[in-house]
Amino acid sequence: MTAPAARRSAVESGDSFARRPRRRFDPSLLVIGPAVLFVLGLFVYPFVYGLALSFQPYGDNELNGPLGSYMAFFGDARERLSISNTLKLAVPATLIDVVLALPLAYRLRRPIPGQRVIAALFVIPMTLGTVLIAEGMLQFFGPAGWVNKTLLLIGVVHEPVQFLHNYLGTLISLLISDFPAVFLLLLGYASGIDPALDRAARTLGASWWQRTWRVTLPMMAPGVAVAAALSFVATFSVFPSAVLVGNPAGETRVIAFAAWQAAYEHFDYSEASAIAIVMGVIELALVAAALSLRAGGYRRLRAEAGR
Amino acid sequence: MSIAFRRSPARGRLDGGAGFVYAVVAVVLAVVGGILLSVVLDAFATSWFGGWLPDGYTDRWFRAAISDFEIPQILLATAFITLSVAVAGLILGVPAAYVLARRSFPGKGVLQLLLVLPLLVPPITYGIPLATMLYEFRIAGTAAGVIVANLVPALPLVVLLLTPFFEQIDPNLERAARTLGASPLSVFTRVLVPLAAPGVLAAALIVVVRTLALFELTFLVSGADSQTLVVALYYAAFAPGIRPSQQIDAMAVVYMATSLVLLIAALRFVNPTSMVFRVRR
Amino acid sequence: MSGTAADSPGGARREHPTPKLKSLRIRELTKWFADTAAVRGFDLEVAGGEFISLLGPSGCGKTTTLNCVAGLLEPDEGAIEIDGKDITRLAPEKRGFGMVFQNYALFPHLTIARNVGFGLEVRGIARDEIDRRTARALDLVQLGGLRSRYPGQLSGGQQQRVALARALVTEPPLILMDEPLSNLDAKLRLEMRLEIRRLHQSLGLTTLYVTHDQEEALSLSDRVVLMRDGVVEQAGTPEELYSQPRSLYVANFLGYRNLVPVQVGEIDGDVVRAATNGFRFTGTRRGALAVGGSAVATIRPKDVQVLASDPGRADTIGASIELAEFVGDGFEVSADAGSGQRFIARTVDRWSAGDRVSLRLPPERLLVFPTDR
Repeated sequence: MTAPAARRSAVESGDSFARRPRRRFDPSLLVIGPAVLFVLGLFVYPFVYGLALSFQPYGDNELNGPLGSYMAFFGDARERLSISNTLKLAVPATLIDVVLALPLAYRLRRPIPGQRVIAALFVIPMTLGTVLIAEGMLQFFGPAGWVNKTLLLIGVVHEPVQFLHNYLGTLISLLISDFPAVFLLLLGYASGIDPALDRAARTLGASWWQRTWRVTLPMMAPGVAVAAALSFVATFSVFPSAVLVGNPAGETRVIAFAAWQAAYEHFDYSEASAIAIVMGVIELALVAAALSLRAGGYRRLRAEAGR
Repeated sequence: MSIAFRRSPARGRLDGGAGFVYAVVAVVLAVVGGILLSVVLDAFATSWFGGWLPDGYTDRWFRAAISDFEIPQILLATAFITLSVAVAGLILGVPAAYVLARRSFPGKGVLQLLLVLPLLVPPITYGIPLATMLYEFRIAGTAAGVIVANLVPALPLVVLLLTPFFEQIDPNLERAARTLGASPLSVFTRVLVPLAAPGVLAAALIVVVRTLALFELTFLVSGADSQTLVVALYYAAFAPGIRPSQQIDAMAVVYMATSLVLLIAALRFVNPTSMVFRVRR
Repeated sequence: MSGTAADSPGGARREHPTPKLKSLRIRELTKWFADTAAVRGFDLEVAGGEFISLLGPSGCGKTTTLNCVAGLLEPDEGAIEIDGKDITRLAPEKRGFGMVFQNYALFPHLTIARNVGFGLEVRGIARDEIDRRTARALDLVQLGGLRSRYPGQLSGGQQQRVALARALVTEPPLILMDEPLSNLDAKLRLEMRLEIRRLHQSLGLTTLYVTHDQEEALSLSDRVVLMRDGVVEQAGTPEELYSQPRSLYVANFLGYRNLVPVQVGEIDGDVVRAATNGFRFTGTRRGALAVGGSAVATIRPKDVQVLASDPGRADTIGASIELAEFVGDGFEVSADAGSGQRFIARTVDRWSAGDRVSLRLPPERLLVFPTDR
């Protein structure tokens, strides 16, 4: 049977198997307990713990009451700067990746030769992770590395471009690390669009541009929003690349780094928690927005006939 | 659908779309491939002072890295940690995935969201409060602490991967076994386990691969003996001591090789696109 | 000059508006996929106002042909002409045909009203005219009240009617339908069949309809084109195909379910005597047969007469009833005549398993064809 049918049948049958009068409940459900407890204890609780800690400022910050840590963070110009530093990295990285991945994913609704190989190859940078990419960039994008050599050879520049230990390096690292995930996510959405819709629009007289504007893009909009939100959440929390190929003392002093410094260099766990809470709030808000967009979008897009 | 054949669009519009795809793919692969290749070449280089290729080749940096960075110990620790995370993730996650696949109950949607939530929040965000907490409880700095910390994103991944997998196992198979006289335990061992084995194995592999690459959590929680390969690589690259790039790249190559071997093993079982958090339709 | 019954082939007996289309000509249409010809040498002339069905099993090329006419596929050889103008290479968005897809292909992100109005919108027609024509189209298919809903909120039958309205609202010269009823349940299918025919007549449409259901094709069409493996097996009015199938394949497709391989004994004009396994048949020759050669005799279940057992009677075959199935307006029985030969017959009489009967196969109904390729 098809997957959705199997799923429905599984749930329905499971229900009839496990169905008991409302008051008693199925003991086999307890089996899910340990997992739930684990997530509650080691994911939700640390946030609670951290939240509490953030309201117990250390040292001089105590003088400002429970909000002392927050005030120290938002009050200090350098600390505040970490937010804008991070945004200056995260927003362009997400935008560029989404804008680049979108036409790619759109075209790949119809298969092209070698696309499984391409998908597999995209998984490689994702698997290797940000640390290796950043570390490898030290060689490849270095002053004597192949990128600069090629640029000099072509004559685009007259001296090596400084790709490393600055904003550019971090941005490039983010772009490389983030792109495959965005692309695969969008591909999932794009391939879910019924190809008959494009055909129907053609027979109704819509030109390529009209079809893209009126049918394809609106249908991909929820997917794009989700991809952008999730991508932004990931790029916003950039850390190792900002250190290895960036300038953590200056322009790429990102908010994650500020949190780390507070905890591991200043041992101010309260401020570290405060910064982490700020990050968490921003990210959770975005995730919630993305999820609700997805749910809303799908409520309308679901149940196309014949699928 | 009545489609028996592949349909092509009416010609009149050149398929530049495919060309664009190949172009972008080529650029991405050139960059990533270039990065990886230059790392590998550098690791085998006697020195590389500015030419297109290294000045000469040797393997001595590997030997230096192995002793200097204590790579065998780190590999051991990494293996121990990642396998433990996978096993623990399976122990907690498989029953949860099964229940979510087969049962329906009030609050199920909320539970599913809760179980998946850690995957949606970047590790560094919850890592800092988590590390602080683990240090309070004195588990941080040990392998146990690293395992626990890495379990936080690993468990949701197991649940996310295995729930649809269990859903696709026909429940009638279990019912048939019951009507034929098998006890619930028998049904589990004789029917479910064999059917679930490939999926479970694949999930374990994916957890290992992702834990291997996961930097932030281990970085925040590990002690000297409980570093994984990726954290050791970071320290090597960032450490104040002046080390030749070749030695660091040698370590990077060890990391790459480990990672890619595991990835290839995983890809034999799994479609590449399910390695990303995939929003299901 | 308004179209009258005399003008339209197929013999519609009431007046309907002049069709917008004068003629559709498909010449020698051929389309290859890899090294198989999905359609080969397809010829068809359609006059304005006709309802033509392309009938056949999946893979016979009917959908490919339709897609070529729509412009969604480009033929490798052949030509398509509308009112004398060659449109073979014209892009689908410029052809202005209406098309109804098997899975309806309604835009899920648009309301019903905007779905129906889509073809008018992309043409830049004024908003109030779009609204007017959309409302009229929706009324035509009796869905006026649902204009603000979304496709996902509608039932299959309703979605199908929206798809119809969307194709009709632009008043196209030609409507193409790709198995539009196959996703509906039996009752709905019958209702919608009437709807489609009614709309075709009252709006003076010209329709090209693809289906694998012979009953649908026979009841809806002015002419039927039966296809097989990319070529036309027979084209003609429903009556022609039904009572004068030109080949064994057509006969079998249209309900001649009894097939008996035979040896040809004597040929006398159109009358054939043939035999197999000790059974003798007298039938009507269809196609070229050779004395002593192999052939296939075939007859419809409802033409097989099931009589009380009369072993002496020369022109019958003795058999015993195996199964009797009640089918509402009679019984369908399977009769075993021995030597592995079975016949399926329709009868109003009630028989039980084990009854001995005599089967009479009227020669004018028993068709003898050359063996199928």
